[in-house]
Amino acid sequence: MPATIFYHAVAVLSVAVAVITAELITRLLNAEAIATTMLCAVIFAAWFGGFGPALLAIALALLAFHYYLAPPINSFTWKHDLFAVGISEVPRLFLFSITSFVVSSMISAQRRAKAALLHSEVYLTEAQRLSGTGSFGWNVASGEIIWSDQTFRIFGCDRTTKPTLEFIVQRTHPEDRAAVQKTIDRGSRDGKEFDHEYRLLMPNGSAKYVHAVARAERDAWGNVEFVGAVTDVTVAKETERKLRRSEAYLAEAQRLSHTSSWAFDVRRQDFIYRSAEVYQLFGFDPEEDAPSLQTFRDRIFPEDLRRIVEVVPQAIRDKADFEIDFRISLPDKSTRHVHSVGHPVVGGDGNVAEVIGTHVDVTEQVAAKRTLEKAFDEIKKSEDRLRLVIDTIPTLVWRSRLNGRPEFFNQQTLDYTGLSLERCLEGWVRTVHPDEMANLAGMWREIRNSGARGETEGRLQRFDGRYRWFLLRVEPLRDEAGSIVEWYGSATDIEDRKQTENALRQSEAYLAQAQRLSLTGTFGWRVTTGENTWSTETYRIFGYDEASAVNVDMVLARAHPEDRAAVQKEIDRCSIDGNDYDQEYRLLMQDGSLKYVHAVARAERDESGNIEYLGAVTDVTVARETERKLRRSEAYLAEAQRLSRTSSWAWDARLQEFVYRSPEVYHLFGFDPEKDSLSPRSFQERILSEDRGRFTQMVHQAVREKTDFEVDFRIDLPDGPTRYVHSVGHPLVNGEGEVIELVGTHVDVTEQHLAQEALQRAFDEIKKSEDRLRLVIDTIPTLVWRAGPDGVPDFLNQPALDYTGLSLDQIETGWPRAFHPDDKKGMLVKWSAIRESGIPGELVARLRRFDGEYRWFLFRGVPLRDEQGNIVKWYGSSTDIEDRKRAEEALRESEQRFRDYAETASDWFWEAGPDHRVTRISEHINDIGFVPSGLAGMSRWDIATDIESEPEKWRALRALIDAHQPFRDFVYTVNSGGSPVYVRTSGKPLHDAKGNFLGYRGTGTNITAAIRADHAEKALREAQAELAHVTRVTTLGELTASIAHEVNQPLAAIIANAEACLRWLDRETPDLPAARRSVEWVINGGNRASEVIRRVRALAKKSDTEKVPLDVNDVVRDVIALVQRELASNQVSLRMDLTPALPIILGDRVQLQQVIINLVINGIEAMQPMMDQPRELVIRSGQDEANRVFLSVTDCGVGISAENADRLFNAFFTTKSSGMGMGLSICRSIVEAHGGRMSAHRNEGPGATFQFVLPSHQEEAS
Amino acid sequence: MTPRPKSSHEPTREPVVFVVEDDELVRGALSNLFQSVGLEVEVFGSASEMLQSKLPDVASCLVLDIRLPGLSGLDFQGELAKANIHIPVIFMTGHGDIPMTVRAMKGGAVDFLTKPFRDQDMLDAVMVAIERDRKRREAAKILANLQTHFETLTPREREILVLISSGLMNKQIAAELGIAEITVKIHRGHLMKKMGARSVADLVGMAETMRIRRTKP
Repeated sequence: MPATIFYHAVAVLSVAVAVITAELITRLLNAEAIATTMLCAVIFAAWFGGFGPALLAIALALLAFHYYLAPPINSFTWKHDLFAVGISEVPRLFLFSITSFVVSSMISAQRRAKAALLHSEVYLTEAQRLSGTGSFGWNVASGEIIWSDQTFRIFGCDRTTKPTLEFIVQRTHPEDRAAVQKTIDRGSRDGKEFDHEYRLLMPNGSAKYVHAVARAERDAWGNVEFVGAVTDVTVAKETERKLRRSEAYLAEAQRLSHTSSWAFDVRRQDFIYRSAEVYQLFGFDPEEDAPSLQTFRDRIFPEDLRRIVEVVPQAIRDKADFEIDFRISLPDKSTRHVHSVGHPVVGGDGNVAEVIGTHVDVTEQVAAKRTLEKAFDEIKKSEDRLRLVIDTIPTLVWRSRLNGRPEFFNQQTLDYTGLSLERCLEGWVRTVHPDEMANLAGMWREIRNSGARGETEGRLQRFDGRYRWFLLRVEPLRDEAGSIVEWYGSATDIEDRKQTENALRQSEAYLAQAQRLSLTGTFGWRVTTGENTWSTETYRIFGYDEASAVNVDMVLARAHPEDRAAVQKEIDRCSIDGNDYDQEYRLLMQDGSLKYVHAVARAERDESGNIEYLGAVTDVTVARETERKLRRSEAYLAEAQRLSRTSSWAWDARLQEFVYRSPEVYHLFGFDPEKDSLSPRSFQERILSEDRGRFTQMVHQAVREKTDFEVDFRIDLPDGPTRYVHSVGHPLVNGEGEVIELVGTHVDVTEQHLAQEALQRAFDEIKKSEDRLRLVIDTIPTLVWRAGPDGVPDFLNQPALDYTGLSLDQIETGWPRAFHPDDKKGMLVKWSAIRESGIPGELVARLRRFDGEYRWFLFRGVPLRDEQGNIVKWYGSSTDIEDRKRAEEALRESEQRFRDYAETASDWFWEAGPDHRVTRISEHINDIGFVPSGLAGMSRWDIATDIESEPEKWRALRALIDAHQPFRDFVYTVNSGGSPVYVRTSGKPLHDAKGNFLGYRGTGTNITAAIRADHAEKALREAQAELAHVTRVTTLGELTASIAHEVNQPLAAIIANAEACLRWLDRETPDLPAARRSVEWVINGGNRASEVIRRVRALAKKSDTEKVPLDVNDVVRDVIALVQRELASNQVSLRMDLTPALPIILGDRVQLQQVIINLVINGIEAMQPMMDQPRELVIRSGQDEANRVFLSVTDCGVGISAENADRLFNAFFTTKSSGMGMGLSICRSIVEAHGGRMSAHRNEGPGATFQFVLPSHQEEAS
Repeated sequence: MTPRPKSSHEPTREPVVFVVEDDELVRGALSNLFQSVGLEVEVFGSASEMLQSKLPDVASCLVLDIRLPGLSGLDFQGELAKANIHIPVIFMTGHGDIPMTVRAMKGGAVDFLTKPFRDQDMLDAVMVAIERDRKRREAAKILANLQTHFETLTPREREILVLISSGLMNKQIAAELGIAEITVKIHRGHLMKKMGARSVADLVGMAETMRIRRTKP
């Protein structure tokens, strides 16, 4: 703002100067010039400072007026009356105000405009300098030229130089001078704007490109003035030049890398350039030939040329690039495929001057493509074949992901289940029989967890709701790393096998039935005697009365005349060599009808070597008739098929024209049969030129050789695409053997071709699918094979190759050889039978594995037929049933085993109906005096004799069988010939598949003997107990001294203590504490004495066995108290080695004590003869590894002699002078009654060890 | 507990009854009985136990059970005799037989009691045994005294004592020894003084006690 303040200050100053000037004028000149000076001051202020300062100056001027003009004048005092100014002054003031306002505003406006102009001029100059553009003005009339600074700089001179036209021309490059002069002249003449680019030659010799543009302005007088700009474009031009050069390089490089290039001059309509490769491409020698355009064109396929002729002019018209493919036909008959790219070059006149382009030889690419297509077809075929294999092998095959979700089912599976693939993927589980569902799910889980292959059997539901048995196999597919990727499974129908198995069980009955139902006649023929025997059926077949005697001649008489010789020959042969006979021939019956018979006979020789033929003759007329009818209907079918072609035509060979065309022919060629009347030529022209020759050639050949022909050709329709036609022709020959006409059909196969193309696109996917399918075949755990109609195998899948160890080229011979020699013959016979029958069949045989092991396989064959119903291939699967075979055998064996078990475990079997009356009973019942037939219809309680005596038992049985529960070991008595017989019987309820109760089935045993034996054993047991008691008492007798000692000890103590007590009391001052103490000891002694007595009494008591839980150590301690005295009196030291915390045993305390006492006394006695060594008896208890408790008594006495060792435990065996010899015998029976064992053995050192082992209580409980 | 006597190491004039019996009940009863009549009792569970302890030098007797663990009672008696320990023994047994009794009595047993025994029999037997032991001990003490005196004698004096005890007169002794009669008298005077004999008869009695006899006729 300092400038603003300065301007205002100048305004104030100017007013001040004006006042002073006015004052001076007033004073010196005495003139009044106040208004004038003030106006000058305002103008100055406005000119100098603008409008603002001017207003200030005006205001100050008015104040000055106030000073000078308002009375009192020349005074600054406040003038109350502002309007006291003389009226003469008012106009002056008013004028002054207006004038000064206007002047100041004008001056300030001009000032602002000037400042703006100054600014813009500066900008312009700067802009011109930066852009290298200078501006100029040229007044044509005056010849005056005005240049801007930049223009001077462009022309390389300073402002001092006077720009003239001459100067400009002089600076211009000599080459451009004329053009510049021309432009100048034109400009000066017609005053039109110009735009010119030219070069300047600078004084230093450098060239400068300038671009001058000017616009003409005309003033009011019509003078023309050019205003323009001149720009230095040297840099841009240089850049452009460099670019052009690099472009040229690029073009050169492209030319070098491209095979062939050409340039075509549009105006001259000829190629102006062809690279050497073009000549080579078209098969010309660039050195020698100078081929014309036409020669080139002749080499191009005509229809391609047509396209070129269409496309290229169009591209020239549109100035657009084009690409085109065409074919070249070379003189050596080879075809080249060329891909051509063209680019029209637009000339200066905006017209296409020339077309440049390249030809690329793509023959190889096209050939590769063709090969691919061919390969595709192959693959397609192979894929179809594989799919056929999968869909034809009579096995259900599926694939599932790692998680068990199925992904694929073969056609067989879908056919079997009757489900679509989608429904099958979701709901195949529902096809499993409910009974096997859990089993299958479990197995499937197990297999998935283990990752191993697996197999099981199960029923799957067929589309019609029926269940059939299948052998289900699953196998994992692993990747290279060995991890499971997918699961493949197969299901083989074993229903028939299952049924066969069932049938096997009733085989005999069925066989018998089948034999009876056989309608084949049999015959016998003794060759030597000529004796013939015929069955009824044979008579019927040959049409003879059964009463008539038969001979071979009768057969010959019936034989059809044409077959008679052959029959005679066979019969003659048989009568000589005695080999088997198998012949089929016709019979001519009396009524003139024909009969086909099949006779088979086998020769038997008796001891004297006479041959007798036994054979069968079967009437196969029906089969033959059927066959014949089939053949006829087949012929009809072929005829019908032949006739069903769509479009047909006839061509007169002599007239060389079509005498007939069906309307479809016209449609096919795109003509209207109604309107167009067409020559053969118009038809021929529609045929693609390259196919035309072939077609014509085929037709001529057919006429010449009188053969049928088939040809494919293409029709080029004017409105649309190419049609593919398959044409079949047949020449008709007249009596002279000349072809009079050709008749034939055209079939439009365009769609097939299109479909093929679509197929080509699907190629990759199909390829993949093929791989997948191959994988399926090679992964399904079933051997898959394929054989020709002759039965010779030609394909095996990978598992089959792996199994047999064959390579692909060994299949034909190796596969049949892999069969077990024993099975081979039967297999071949069956296989031929299946092939002859033409229906799916199966057989079972052993197949050798690569390692030589034979395994049983189920072979299945299914025929694949062509449209005519002829068998083309046999597809088959072989399923390993080795394990099944083994299982079957095991089953059979196990059944036999169970039968044996049952028969040995019981005496007879019985079956009873729901009313519990016997329906069946085996013969063995007569062992107890009953006749099986006599028992039929009787119930158990009808024959029992203990119903009154034991009603409770019978009530319990009734309750069980009424509830249909099984019962076991029910014992009752029956009366057999007056003596009671005990019967034990067990039964199990029978239910049918629906759960209906059918009755009972069970076994019965005569247990009378066992029951009697039981009674005897009981008596024996009692006797033994008695004996044990006696020996116990005897032992006690032996222990008298010991027992006396044990009793006397406490008695002595009692008495002593009692006496002492009396004495303590009898003292002068009775010692009562001592007396009390004495009495307590007396009581202790009494208790001890009574305890001894109790033990003795227990041993002496005759009590029943009473088993209680015991610790063996306690029993030992009880006993030792009784034998102490014996030990001491024999100077025997006792060592007790008792293991603490032994398992509890269950036993009778007294009996075990008896055993231990016996062993201890025996030990003591055994040591009696040993005088010169310490006598030690060791009692040891412990636990063996089977958790049983053992107790041993070891002495170091005389030991056991070898001859006595075996007799030790026998009754009445003793080595003592006194003794019954019952001790050890009874000991052993006691121990054994406890479930234990007793043993004795010699020690390493002197003496013997007796030991017994008892089961622990827990062990027994368990 | 059993009122056992005070330690045997304390010198006491009271007689002591030793009991060897393996049955604790009987052992206690005997101890009780002897204590009730004011006898000192010392009990042992086995013979070896007793042999290992130091026995007081007072009148005592041993009540011994025949059936003992280890060494039997009868054998123990023999062992004691061999070891020159002359303690009177009273046997007891629960079931005695004659051969056993004979063997015990032959071995010098004071009595042989069959369990259960009357207390008075036991006490009487013990009293007899103790009395016998005391007497034996007194005799042994006198003899020991004499022996001590005898040890102080010179060889000539011992010769003369032997001759005196065999009834020879001074003159005969002198002749026998080829010395003067007066010398014999002097020796005899010394001798009697040393032996503390009041008279020749006394001296002869002493010699008797010591079983000093003239060996050659």
